[in-house]
Amino acid sequence: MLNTLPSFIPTGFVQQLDMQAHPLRTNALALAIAVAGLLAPLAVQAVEKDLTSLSLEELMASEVFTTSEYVRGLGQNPSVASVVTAEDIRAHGYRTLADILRTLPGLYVTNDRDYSYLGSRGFGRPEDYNSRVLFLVDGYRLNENVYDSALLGTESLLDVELIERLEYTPGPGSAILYGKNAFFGVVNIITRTGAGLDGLEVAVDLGSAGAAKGRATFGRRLENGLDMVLSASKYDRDGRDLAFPALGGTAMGLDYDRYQRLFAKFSMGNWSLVAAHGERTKGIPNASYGQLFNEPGAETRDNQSLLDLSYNRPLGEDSAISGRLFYGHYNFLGDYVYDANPAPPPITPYINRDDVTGRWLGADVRYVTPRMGAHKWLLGADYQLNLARHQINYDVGGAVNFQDSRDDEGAWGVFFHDEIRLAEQLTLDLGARYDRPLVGDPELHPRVALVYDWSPDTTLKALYGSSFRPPNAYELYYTDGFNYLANPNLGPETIRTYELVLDRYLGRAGRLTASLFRYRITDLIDYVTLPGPQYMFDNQGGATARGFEIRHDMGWEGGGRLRSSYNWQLAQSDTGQWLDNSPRHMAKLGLEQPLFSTGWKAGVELQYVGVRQNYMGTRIGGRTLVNLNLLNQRLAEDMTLSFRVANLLDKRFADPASSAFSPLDRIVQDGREWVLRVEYRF
Amino acid sequence: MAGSMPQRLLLLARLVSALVLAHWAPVCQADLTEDQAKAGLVYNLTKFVQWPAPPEDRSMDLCVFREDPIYSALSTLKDKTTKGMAIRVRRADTADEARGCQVLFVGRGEQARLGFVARALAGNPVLLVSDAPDSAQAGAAVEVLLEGRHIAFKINRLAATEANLKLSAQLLGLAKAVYDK
Repeated sequence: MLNTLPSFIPTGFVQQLDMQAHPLRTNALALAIAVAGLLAPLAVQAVEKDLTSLSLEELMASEVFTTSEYVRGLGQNPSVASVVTAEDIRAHGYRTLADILRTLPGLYVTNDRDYSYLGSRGFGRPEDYNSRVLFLVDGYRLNENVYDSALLGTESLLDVELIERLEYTPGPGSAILYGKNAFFGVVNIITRTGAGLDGLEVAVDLGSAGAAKGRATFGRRLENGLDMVLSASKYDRDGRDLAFPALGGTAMGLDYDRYQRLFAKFSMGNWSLVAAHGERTKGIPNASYGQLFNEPGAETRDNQSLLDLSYNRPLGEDSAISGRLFYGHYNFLGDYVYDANPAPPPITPYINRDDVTGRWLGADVRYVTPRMGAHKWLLGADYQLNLARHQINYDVGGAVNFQDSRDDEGAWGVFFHDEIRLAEQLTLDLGARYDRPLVGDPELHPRVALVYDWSPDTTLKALYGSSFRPPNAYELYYTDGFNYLANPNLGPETIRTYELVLDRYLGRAGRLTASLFRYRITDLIDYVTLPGPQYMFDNQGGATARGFEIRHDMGWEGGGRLRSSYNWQLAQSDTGQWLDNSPRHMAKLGLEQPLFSTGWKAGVELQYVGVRQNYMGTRIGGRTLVNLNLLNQRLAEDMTLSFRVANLLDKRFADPASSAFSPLDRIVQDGREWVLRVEYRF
Repeated sequence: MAGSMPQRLLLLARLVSALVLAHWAPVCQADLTEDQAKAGLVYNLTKFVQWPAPPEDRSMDLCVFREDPIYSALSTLKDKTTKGMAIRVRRADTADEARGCQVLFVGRGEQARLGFVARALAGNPVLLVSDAPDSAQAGAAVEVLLEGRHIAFKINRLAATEANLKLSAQLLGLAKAVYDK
């Protein structure tokens, strides 16, 4: 990766190699030459930016480039978004998307020692691989097309060090822009630019349980206007031996975790091209799905790639036109170890494998009009062609138990949004989306928001939104022929949300936001246990969550900042049952404070998640976790040092288990973990 | 077969790079991000605007109303000077906090509050700058806008006069439009 960097390539390089080209050279070398040939003419000095050096005339003559980010603020959900910036990520030393998301109001993350699952305002359903929250990276949909999953832990394809800004907007209000997965909310990630990076960053992490990570990221904006980011990383963690009394022993060396990631972004003028790839392998230490315990070979492998070409053209007067073309690929391999001869010992282990592949192509276009009287319109359409959705289950070296292939199926949607200034202090936000999904009838869903500026410092909002989610291929068709049943008759689920928001600026005392919400889901697609036991997805009745959320955010002189939130919610099924994996209370606190003038900055997090029930109704205790990060960017020139301790108090805690982990009723999480990072800039 | 794989790739690479050079070489003006251009304009405004009396601590306070992406670009001006005064950059969340600022930038995201802020600051020598569309008619003294790939601005002379600010003729001459109401 590094030898493709333009600053290292002498311009004569290509000419020298020209005559020596030999037919037997490897394809890899040929590729390197081609890349070098492309980049060599671009190896020029980055632009210096001292804003005081430009006169007014020079400034007005300068070319202004806009990033590929959609025109700001338009069509956005008027709900209150949470924002995490690159600076926050550094200050707290977040290592994964899951680390970031669990700090945000109303969100909680459950981990089963393989994947991370996001819960939102009391809904965290079993066997939901984050299909109900849409994840966008520079506008590209991260959710793949078989499970609709977005991967958030080490399984993600994105290094959080590449994030410039992450915005989370709760509720289905944004679904009018993005469609099916924006059910509980949207996480919108904008990556860093070459201009912002302006050099090479090399970082090495060393941590407990044998964790090590290396990352190299290069970014630069060249004089000819090309902004480029190239990044590669590799991670390896041995993990610990884990004792499972309920399984009668200790899993030895099975908690290993490895990933490799590549990321590239090129922007020029109105165009932007992003390519990324990630692959992760994780050992399964806790004998999920009735596997043999402490038997090597049980692991999952996730392999994701994306290619995204976008165009965004500002037309003046806040009007813009944008479009994108994208391609995605996902492959999942799940190896599960069973005994071929369950009769008395010795055991004869064999591997049962899930092999799942998704490939898709898509496009979208949007047009934002200039303001026309009281109106400002946004019109758009999107289309996704699912080239492949393949699910196979087989015994390695043995029989194919199940095979389902869905090819070349398309889904599309059209949407509009209008922001109407009813009066100086009153804005009405109207939008609707019409969908032709892969499964089920066409759907039409509206969103309405009334925003009233009560005083310069106080805003009141009343929000209503609805959205739907068609069942995914996994929920519809997956079966192993024995315990797990397909249900091709599944229909879509629907959500309707109501929210009242009070947003008040308190001057030096910061900003206070309070909201009251009601989420109502009908035909909930849920994982049900039938006699046998057998398992299947089915449309259950309805479920409702009611609750409130309070947030406070304040900063002070010298770079200190305190963010806190409290949530209360009760999520119940129509039969009056409290849903599993649904905390009633959540409280969060994040503090960033420079330590005098030592160059050190402390980031402290407190996270409380209240009692939850597991699938059997067992109560899993609430817990408060403390994480600490110490950061120093001034120890030596161009060097950054950080030291993070997660679960500082070494609290023993667990997440509720789903039925897939029976007889375990809970998934015990890691105790105190530390990681040291040294980062150099060149 | 005409040429090996590497040779053909090399030819392609040279062709592409030649095209790239021919196409991109003439572009040599210093180009800026949208936020840098707006921050640069704010800096230049401080040179063309005359405040009634310089503040006692001889500093020029450039303020951003609530959260806005211009903040980080504007922050690069910290500790630089203009007209002999040190530049300070800070955030102001309420109109009260903005009274001590020489310049207040109200971004598009806070467009709905612009009228409020303008009224609350009436009579104070604060230069109200905004990138919200039509903000020059909604109380801002200076409206920043993008015209194609260039930055431009409009002026509301009455808003400046009411804030006891004098604008240089050169500034008015470069404005895309000057309003007097």
